[in-house]
Amino acid sequence: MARAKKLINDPLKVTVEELEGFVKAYSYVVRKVGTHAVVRKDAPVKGKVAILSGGGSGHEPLFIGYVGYGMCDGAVYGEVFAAPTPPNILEVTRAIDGGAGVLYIYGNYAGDNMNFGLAAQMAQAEGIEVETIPYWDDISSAPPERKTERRGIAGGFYVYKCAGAAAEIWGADFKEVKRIAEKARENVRSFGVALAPGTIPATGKPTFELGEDEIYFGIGAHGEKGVLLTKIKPADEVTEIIINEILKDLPLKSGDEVNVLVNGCGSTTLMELYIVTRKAVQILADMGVEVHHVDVGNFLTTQEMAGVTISILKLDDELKELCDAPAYTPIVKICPELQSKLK
Amino acid sequence: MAEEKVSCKKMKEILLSVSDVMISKEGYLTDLDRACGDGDFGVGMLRGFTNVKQQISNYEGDDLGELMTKAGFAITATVGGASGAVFGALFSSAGIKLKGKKEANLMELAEAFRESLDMIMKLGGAKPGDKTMVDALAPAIEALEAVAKAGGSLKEAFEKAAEAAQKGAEATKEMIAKKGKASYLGEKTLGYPDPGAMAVALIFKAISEKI
Repeated sequence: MARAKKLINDPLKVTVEELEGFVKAYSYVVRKVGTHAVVRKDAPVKGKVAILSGGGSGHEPLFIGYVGYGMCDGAVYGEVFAAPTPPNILEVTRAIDGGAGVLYIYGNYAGDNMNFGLAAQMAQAEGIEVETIPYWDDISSAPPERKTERRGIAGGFYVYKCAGAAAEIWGADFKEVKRIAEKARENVRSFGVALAPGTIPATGKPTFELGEDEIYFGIGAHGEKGVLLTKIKPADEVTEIIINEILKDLPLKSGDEVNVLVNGCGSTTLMELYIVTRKAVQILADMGVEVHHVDVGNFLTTQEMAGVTISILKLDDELKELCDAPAYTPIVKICPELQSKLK
Repeated sequence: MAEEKVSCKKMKEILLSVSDVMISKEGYLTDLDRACGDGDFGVGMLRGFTNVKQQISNYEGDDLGELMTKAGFAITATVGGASGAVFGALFSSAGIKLKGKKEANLMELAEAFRESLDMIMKLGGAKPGDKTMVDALAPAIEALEAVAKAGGSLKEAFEKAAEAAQKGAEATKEMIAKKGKASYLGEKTLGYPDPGAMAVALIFKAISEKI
């Protein structure tokens, strides 16, 4: 069950303090801007389209872990589970603006849309070209015909990776990077299951309630209502349910290629994630779908929530190349040269 | 009888008074939000209105609209989340409408707050019945407009607005949340009032007492 014991100091200072620690740990990649944002050490990169990620803190390593070479130029945090404020967004926008425009890429939530939207207006008034790209990969949150109402969860990883690579490795212009970000967004779907809630640092309160032997499919990253409550099942069965739901929304056929992200929600062990990965890849392989690359680990957590989300990105040549392109951030290190030494 | 107007100086006093009330109600708002959400609403309002006091205390100008806009931005700048955006808009949208004015009569204030309501509904997509601040704000604005049309006083208008806001806020107890973090709890929010709506009621009560 959820534990309220946490290694924090003043619960109202968790965001500020974690960022101070983060930049000490990753000083070779990032630096701080203000109290609530980090940017790549060498920002601004002149002439390159800049990518800004951001949203509520509490989902580490989400957003801040993606800042560096070939992915995000900056990340701005709000308080725990709350959208960042326009002045903080604007401050980091100025810090990463290389003169080629800034794309705000973030999860599709009311508060984020409001605050990034307000900041975008302010940035534009200062002469910085800005557009907002919320992502909406969580299939449980709305039906396909209302996909723009869906929530953004771990699948946003692919939007950041593809957009970041297009900007850095390809040197693509603003319109191109936007096109690619939107394409990645349209080609990723996510679905997950929770086994136990996380708790909010300031209150110790769990983000939702679940019985000892219950699991809840489709619950969101903040405890948003899910779609299927059942008793605990073996991992293979759970994984089948998750993959089948995704396939209903993103039909795949033999010969298609995908990347897969198996994401831990916080307290789920790597052992469990690897077991889920085993089954996920097997199901896809049995269909004749080629799994090009798998990422597994904690990418979007909700404090100590137990659970897993799976994201599938349908690849074409463009997206494949962009996903394979080099990147160097606190949690994403893709080094094709080093990898090739292992062939 | 000379037409009643609110001067910039008077609005500054009103906003400071509203801020003090909101700051003093942090615990109350937190408790409301624990039932319906994350429990961070009270702390957010405390941050926001503390900043309002700081920002407008230093305002030396006489532009009523500019003052209110400053107050609104002070909230959005520090509160964050959806709450920061919409509670900021409550003041900043009215302020943008009143920009350049040194004083405003009841009709002008009603029109300005109507702009705020429109902006808030646009930002969040909430309609009456979704169990949000709109359920208190919409009746409050209607009350202001009704008294303004009937030629009533500023005091009467804001007292009626405060009553309407309180009624609207209490009515949210019987609604199921459709927006914001509370919407994640769905039916579990039945029987509990929406914290944002209660905050609007507090704000209009504080205005009515000072105006």
